[in-house]
Amino acid sequence: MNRENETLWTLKSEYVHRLAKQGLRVDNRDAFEYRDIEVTPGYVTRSPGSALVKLGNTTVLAGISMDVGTPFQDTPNEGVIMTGAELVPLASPTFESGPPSEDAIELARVVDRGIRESKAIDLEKLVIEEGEKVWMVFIDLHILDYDGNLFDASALAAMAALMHTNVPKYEDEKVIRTESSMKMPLRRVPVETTFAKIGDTLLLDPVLDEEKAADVRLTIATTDDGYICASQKGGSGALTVEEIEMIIDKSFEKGDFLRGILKDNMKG
Amino acid sequence: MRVVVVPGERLGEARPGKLSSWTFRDGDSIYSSIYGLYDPDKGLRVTPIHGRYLPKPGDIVIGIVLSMRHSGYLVDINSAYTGYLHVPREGVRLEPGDVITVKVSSKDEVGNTHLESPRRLIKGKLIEIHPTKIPRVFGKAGSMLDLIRKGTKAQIIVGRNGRIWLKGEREDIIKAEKAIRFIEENAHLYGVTDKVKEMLEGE
Amino acid sequence: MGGKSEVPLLDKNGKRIDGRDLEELRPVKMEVGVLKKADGSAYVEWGGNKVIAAVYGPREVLPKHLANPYKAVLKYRYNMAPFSVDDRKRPGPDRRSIEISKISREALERVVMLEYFPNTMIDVFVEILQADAGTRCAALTAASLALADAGIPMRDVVAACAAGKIDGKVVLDLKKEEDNYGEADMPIAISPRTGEIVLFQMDGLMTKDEYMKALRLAVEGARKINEIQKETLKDKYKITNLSGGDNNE
Repeated sequence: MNRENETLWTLKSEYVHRLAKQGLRVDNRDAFEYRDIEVTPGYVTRSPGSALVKLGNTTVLAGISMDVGTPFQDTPNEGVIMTGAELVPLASPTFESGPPSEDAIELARVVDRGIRESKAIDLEKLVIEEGEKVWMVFIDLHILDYDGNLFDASALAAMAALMHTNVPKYEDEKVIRTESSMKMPLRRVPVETTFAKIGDTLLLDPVLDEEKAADVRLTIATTDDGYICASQKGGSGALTVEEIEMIIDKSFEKGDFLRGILKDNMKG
Repeated sequence: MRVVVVPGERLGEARPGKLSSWTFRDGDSIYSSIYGLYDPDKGLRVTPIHGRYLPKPGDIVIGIVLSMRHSGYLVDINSAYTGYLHVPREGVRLEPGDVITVKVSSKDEVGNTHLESPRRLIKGKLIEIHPTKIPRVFGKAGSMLDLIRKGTKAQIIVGRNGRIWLKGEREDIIKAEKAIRFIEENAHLYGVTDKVKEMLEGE
Repeated sequence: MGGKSEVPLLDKNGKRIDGRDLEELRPVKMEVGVLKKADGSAYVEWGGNKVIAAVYGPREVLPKHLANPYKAVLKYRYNMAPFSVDDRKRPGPDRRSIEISKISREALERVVMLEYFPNTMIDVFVEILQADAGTRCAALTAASLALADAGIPMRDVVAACAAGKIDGKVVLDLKKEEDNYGEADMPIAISPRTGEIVLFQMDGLMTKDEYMKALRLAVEGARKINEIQKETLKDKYKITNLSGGDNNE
């Protein structure tokens, strides 16, 4: 980043800090209020599952691809999940083309953890032949517009996509993509809630200016049955144990809010 | 009594005035910011045990000429910061690889380090020790360095950046280097001067 | 997390497979100044983990365009040797190593006084020679020691430790089998002076009570690790008198 950009970001950061001290935010939201959320499942009609999520201006498209492969050695009776994320250049002036950056890798792995650790997908139902053939679920996150908080938007998109995924048919050693054998077998509905700390103020769902002004963020993945299944602190700041506890409480509350949005979209 | 302190270790209550080397203030207390030696009887400051050389204006250092640049030379001074020696056209002519003594004239906020008063060092042997041990090689009012000079008859030039230039008979250089390495290893202990005296008289 | 263990992780007396109590740390050994070329270095043995950390810097930034005119750039590279784990790990950075490197660097950025060295780079390299769960905690613990050994000014010596959940019980410092077959893993790191959390992750399934209990347990564990770090640094330079005289000069 060149000198002028740095100066600009420093000024924006000072502005965000000043607002936070007064209990205000750049877009006039409450401290623990989400931006407007739009979920469009089935956005990519050719793939087994997909969903477009808009969280304010942050836009993420999650696509589910499915293929048949061999299971991992230590889990011969389970399907396989693989999550990837691409921060494509068109989404932000700061994204460059090339191999995944550490940010893209972190994003993919944190979203993956929310789904994997909660055992949201019943992987045993994705076994075709134990130890030999299982369904592989590829969750790919394509970031289209970056205005802060990719974690929550991506996790929501991934979950929405999975909730609308039809597993193809496997017959005579071939994947028949035009037919569905079952809906994606889901056991839980994990979502992620991200908080940024501006000075001493905690804010939910940081917009880009807030994300850049914060020096620490905490993402918490919660399930519909009261569990925490993943956590990730990011940034060079620090958190107290008390702040973490507060964030956990808020995460269950706001997680249920997000789950409500997913449920509303199921009818659609 | 000298003790070893670690980064973040509390040294005492904060006092008004400028902070000494390698300490920082947080709330009402002063802490050490480095792994070093602290003697409460000698004031609220810490001497580092290790650390790369940081150029300070006024320091005399031993540099190695790297290349010509504009109207001067880039000089390696054993630091993260390369020094720039401005030399007028009629000034001394240097070649890459030349060993010189120079004085650090200035260092700005982004690390640009300027040098002046170069003097070439011809022949001799160049050794490097931890820059943090150099004060011990000098000793109180230069007493340790005097001791080594008298005990070995070698020509010794000590740079603040950890480089030491030795010139003389082979046995004198070996004796001097041995004493210097001994000081480097035992700098944190008491009784070093006596032991060095013994070493130099013994041979 | 995944798969089932053939051996129960907790026996009928509530002891773990290596005989430890629920809140007991594995044996830990530390040493500083173990490498000749590096500006600072440290070696840590933690249970079955063997890690070595080296610090180079402050030194010139390369490539030049990464230099920051206001402070040093901190780089952290966590790397596992191919033979460190049972299933040979292909050499080179993988996604997991890149993530660990990122969050470890962020943890250290909180305490390292980068403003002292504008336009320079401080490189931290940690190699995992043998892995037994909790490698990122052992690595960060060693890295903090190596930074101190290199004379890099810091606000604190960062200490790390993990807690988790096995057979429904919250425990401190998981070993390999407990991490593989347990229900949750929570690695953390603190700045011991202030108690603030500088590294924090969790995966598994925990209720809020279990989560907060694990967090507090891990913080306590990290404090114990910090005691060993301080001891290691101080014992290296025992101040005595070579000539048998008094300690004054």
